[in-house]
Amino acid sequence: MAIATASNRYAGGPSPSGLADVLDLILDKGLVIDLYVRVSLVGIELLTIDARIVVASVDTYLRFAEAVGRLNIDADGKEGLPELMEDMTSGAAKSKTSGALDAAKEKFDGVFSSDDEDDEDEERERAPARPRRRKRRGDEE
Amino acid sequence: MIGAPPDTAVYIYAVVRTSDDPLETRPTGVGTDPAPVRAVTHGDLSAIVSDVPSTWRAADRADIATHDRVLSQLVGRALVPMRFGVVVAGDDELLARILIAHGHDLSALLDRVEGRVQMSVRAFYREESLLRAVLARRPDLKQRADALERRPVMTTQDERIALGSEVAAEVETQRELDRRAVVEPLAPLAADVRVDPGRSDRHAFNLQLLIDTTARPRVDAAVQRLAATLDHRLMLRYVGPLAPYSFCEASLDLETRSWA
Repeated sequence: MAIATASNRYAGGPSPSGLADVLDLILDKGLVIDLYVRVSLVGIELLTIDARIVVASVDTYLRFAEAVGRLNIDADGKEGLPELMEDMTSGAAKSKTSGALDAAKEKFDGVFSSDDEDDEDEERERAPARPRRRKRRGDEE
Repeated sequence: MIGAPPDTAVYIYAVVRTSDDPLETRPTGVGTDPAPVRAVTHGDLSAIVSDVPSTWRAADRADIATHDRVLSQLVGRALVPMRFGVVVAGDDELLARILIAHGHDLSALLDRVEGRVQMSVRAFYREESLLRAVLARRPDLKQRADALERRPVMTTQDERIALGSEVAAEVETQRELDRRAVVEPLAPLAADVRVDPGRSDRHAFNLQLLIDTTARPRVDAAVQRLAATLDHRLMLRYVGPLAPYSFCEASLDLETRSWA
């Protein structure tokens, strides 16, 4: 799980967007029309409910306390708390709604095919891509 | 204008100002047997639509991608994007109950986004950086944690929970500080902004900017500076131009002429 060494060589322009970049916008934003059919996307309603469950667990607090103990703040970043970060992003018990949201996101990703399985990892692990304009039709796939 | 046969419904992608050729290409629409994307026009307003079977309900990833592709072709012109999945019974319904009944509202929305695009800044924490920032502000928490490490777990359970709870609160504070560090320099450059909370501990937040297309160079440069400044802690993913999804988050009530 190495962070890309290319790092933030931010050359000025926006990255091309994959579907993962705009999925939230497409599904949650934009103009809605009441009283008309919204296509029932399998699982979406359920996931929306899941995403609002608040989990504030003692386990999370204990992990935070432990992780802070392990973290060597004088070192330059090699030692750390990968377990905590993995736990926090893997849908285990979490503080605040973000945990449940994340769990829901994972399930949500499962609803769709895995053909952009790299999207989440990519956005988490990689530095911004070279500046390119948003993909146009025909560029994708 | 082509009327949809009775067994078809009309899927709506967006509303734009009427023009001769709103789409660069002739894309096909959503559904398993995609129909051509076309415009349904009333005066100055055109809905960009495609026909789907009236029984069509099961949308999948390909349909979401299609929705995105159709809208991305329209980016750059005044554009009101629909949320994914809006279907109406037919062209007549679309005309009477949306383009005509809500023409005023739609025109107002189009005015608002005219000459503007949405740019998206998604911020992600780098490994450990959030806690490092917290402990830089609160070294006492680190000292307490170190002291606790030297004592047996069984007898210090309550102290550990209390400490962890305090750390969790400080993490929230740090997230707010980091959010402001990005939002405050960029907001003055935008016509409007939306901040969406992060969806995981690693995901800090999303900032949506509605900007004048003429402001793009300034916004790009400002994002670039922030990305460099915050590089040790935050990875900024900058995407766009997008349809102004976050700034057309309204609901049309078809029973009245006003916003729901």
